Amino acid sequence: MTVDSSTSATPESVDAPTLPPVVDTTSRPYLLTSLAFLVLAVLVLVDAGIQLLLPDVFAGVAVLSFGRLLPLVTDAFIFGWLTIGLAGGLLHVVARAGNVDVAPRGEARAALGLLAIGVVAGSVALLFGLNQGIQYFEYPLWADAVLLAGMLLLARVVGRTARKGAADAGPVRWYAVAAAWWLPLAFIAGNIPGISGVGSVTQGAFARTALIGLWVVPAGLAIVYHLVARITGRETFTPTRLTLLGFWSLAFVWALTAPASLVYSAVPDWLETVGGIFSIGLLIPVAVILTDLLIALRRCWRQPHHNARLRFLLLGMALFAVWPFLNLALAMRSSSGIVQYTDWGAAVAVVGLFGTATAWLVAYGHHAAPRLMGSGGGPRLAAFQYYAVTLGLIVWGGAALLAGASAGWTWVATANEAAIPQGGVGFVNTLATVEGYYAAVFVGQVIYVLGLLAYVVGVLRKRRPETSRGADGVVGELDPELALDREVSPRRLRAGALALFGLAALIVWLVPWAETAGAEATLLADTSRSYVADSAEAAGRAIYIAEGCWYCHTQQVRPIVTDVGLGPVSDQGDFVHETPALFGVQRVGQDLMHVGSRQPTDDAAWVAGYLADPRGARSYSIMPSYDYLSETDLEDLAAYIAGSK
Amino acid sequence: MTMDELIAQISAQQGYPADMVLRSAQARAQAQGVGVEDILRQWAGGEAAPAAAASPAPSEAETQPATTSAAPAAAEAGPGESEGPEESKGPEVEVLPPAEPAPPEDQLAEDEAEPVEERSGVLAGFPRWLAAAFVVVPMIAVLYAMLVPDGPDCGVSGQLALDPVSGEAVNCDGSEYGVEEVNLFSMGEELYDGRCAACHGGNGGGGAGPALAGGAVLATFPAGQCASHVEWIALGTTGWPEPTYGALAKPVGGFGVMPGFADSLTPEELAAVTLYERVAFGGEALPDAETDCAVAEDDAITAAP
Repeated sequence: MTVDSSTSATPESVDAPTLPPVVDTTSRPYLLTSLAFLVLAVLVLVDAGIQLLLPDVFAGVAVLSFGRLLPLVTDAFIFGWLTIGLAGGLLHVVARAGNVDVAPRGEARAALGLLAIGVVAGSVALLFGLNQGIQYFEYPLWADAVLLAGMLLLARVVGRTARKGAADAGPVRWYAVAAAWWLPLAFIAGNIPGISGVGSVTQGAFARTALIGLWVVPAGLAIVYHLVARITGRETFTPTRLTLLGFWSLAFVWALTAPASLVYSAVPDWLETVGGIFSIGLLIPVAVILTDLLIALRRCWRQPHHNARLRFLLLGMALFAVWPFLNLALAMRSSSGIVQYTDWGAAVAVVGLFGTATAWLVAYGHHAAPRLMGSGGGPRLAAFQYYAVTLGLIVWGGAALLAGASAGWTWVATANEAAIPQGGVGFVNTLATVEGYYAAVFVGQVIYVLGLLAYVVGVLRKRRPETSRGADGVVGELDPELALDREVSPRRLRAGALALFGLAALIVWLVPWAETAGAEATLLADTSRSYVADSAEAAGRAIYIAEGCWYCHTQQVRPIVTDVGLGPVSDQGDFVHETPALFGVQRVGQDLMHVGSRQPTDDAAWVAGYLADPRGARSYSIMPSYDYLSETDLEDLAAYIAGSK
Repeated sequence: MTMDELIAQISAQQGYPADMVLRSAQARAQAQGVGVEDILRQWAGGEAAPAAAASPAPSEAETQPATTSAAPAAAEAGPGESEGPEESKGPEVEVLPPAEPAPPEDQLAEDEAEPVEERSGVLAGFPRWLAAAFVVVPMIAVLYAMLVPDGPDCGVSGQLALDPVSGEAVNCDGSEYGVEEVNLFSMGEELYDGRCAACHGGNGGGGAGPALAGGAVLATFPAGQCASHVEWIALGTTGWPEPTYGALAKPVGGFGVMPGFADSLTPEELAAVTLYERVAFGGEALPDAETDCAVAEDDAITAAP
């Protein structure tokens, strides 16, 4: 990067210790709490990474089992770090953009308390195997209730603060108010219990996508728009027509991309097509929003080298640009046959949640820490954070993408060689393919985590005297052609946000649910997948959910080349007796849909022995050992697996 | 007025920096093929219509969504603008709304980083590629929806057919997946050209090794003896266990050394190349040879170590 110090004519320092004191520090405890969850999540992440490489580390310790730690990491990251951090950021930026204080402050504190208690309670519950079986919404219902109360309270506070504030708060207010309502809605959608069959799968897909696309992203964008305004020397971001278009198109499109993760599965075909259409359409809001932000930032290109928040902002924007393309590979039928159920999906989460959202939140931290706490660390620490996080993400995400693509190709190749008459046995090939990549993933994770820990240290450290040169921003003039002359009325905003959420829920969740609810049970469902109460299979299924087996094993055979040899292709009617249906997330291990029809897994006694000591029977296995389960539990689980005919 | 005065005047009127006015005027002049000064005069002349178009909110448009408010104003501005040399291109311009002449303020707003095309309506001021994306991206999406509303046809994107009885994914013709009719003859031809032709000749006429054509190969390994033929190719002169080979009891090594191919070719490939030699050079009927060598293929698996 070329450094031209002459461009910043007056070396005034907006970030200097002489910042105007912010009277309202309501967001401070949010920031600190989110940091605590960040540390928890990243440390457990590293531990989970070690266990994937060395599956016998902590073997035999129930609460440190991989299948329990994995949801703990994701949920603590999403709800503890991102949600609480974004919530604090929203309160901060809504208040500052509207030039008011957060109100009512008591409720804001209560919301934080509820959110934090909910995440802690949910995390503990996961360690003890209380898992609801829908990804991102694993916490048990009582923990969900606490979290939901916190979310509703937060939405109220954000809404009231926004109403109180200046009317020209612009995109900060749009995104903040809408996102604050979308969060509890998505959370409710994901936690409605008792849905069975394919309906539960569309429920999970919709709620996950809404949680990310209608909470994490817009909340992050509210903060981004505020930071961009401040970086460019404005009080608030003057919205352009691009800003408005970006907001509404994001609100319309994102949740409708949900079926991207369900391509070729036993959902209605038209639903897969909807996912494809809107995954293509997702390019528009992302392009519009990025263009809008880049036009606003066009005079600031020379700054990033000494401006940590701009650096992280741009990192997040770069990843934001990549995100929809990676998602598109999952959504398009031709490519999903390769990358579906592989590490590609994990890489999308890396780019989205660990990348884009985290980078924006770190940018906010660099903005807020000096203002709220007079802290922030020096420029050298900030530079380390930036390089470590960036490098870590590139290594981690890149290795995961390559692992996904190569595993997918190997599946197809194995099927073409007809080398998997026994289905899963050929799966060994893919293990060998991804092994090296998993090591790279772990290295990337460690670098990334070091960067984030340095960020935590920086936020907590008393700020050293400002040494950076450089000013924050030149006031850029607004393109008059793009000018937007009127503010969106709060009523219209609320109505539009709710209507679009409802529309997406209808199309990608409720209609397919209604369509598949009447699916006739297949012979398979009535014979081997009925799970009558008190049977060993039903008990085993509960353990299968609790121990998180479904994160690494799918139960879904697709009608494509990749899945040849795995048995009969899955049908909607196969899952009617399952609440929720466990299509699975990724194939770290082999598909289990018809595992009981293959050998030697048709023998429950063999399966029980294998679960207790995987590497005794298959040296290449990376499955955790389940010898911490009681004899009965192990037998039930084995009966469930071997009974999957 | 000189050009500098003109620029200063426009700059004062419109509130844009002088250098931007000049740059915009130059760009406009180049686009229209007229002099910079003409453009400046035109702007300084206080053209009422374009100036009105610049204020994006005519009062009657208050109730309209803001994004569309520029459209009527730009439409008014259109006729006032069409005095330039591009007037004759009128019909074409109508077909392509984004290329419609727009008020000069478009040009004033132009920025070096994000060139803004002249256009009117909701897309005014949008970067060109972004405006194009609004057309292209939905078009791709619609195309996708139209092409594969219910998933791709069998054989496309890895899609297979379903067997109605077993429910397994099968080939599009209903046969078991992975079982493909292999054309042994053409496979053998390919292998022969690569591995054997150097010694036995491209047409089996012989060379360093004995000729195969003209009935020679069938004389050595007559009909029904495909198995020994395969075994001979698999083992070669060095691996052959007996001093003579074939129906004519030819001495092993009498025509030089032939390597064994058991390690480099699969049993199927061995059978294929044998089949080819017997049919192409020996003149045996293909069905006969196939029957003969299909048996041989099974034997070859046990014959080749």
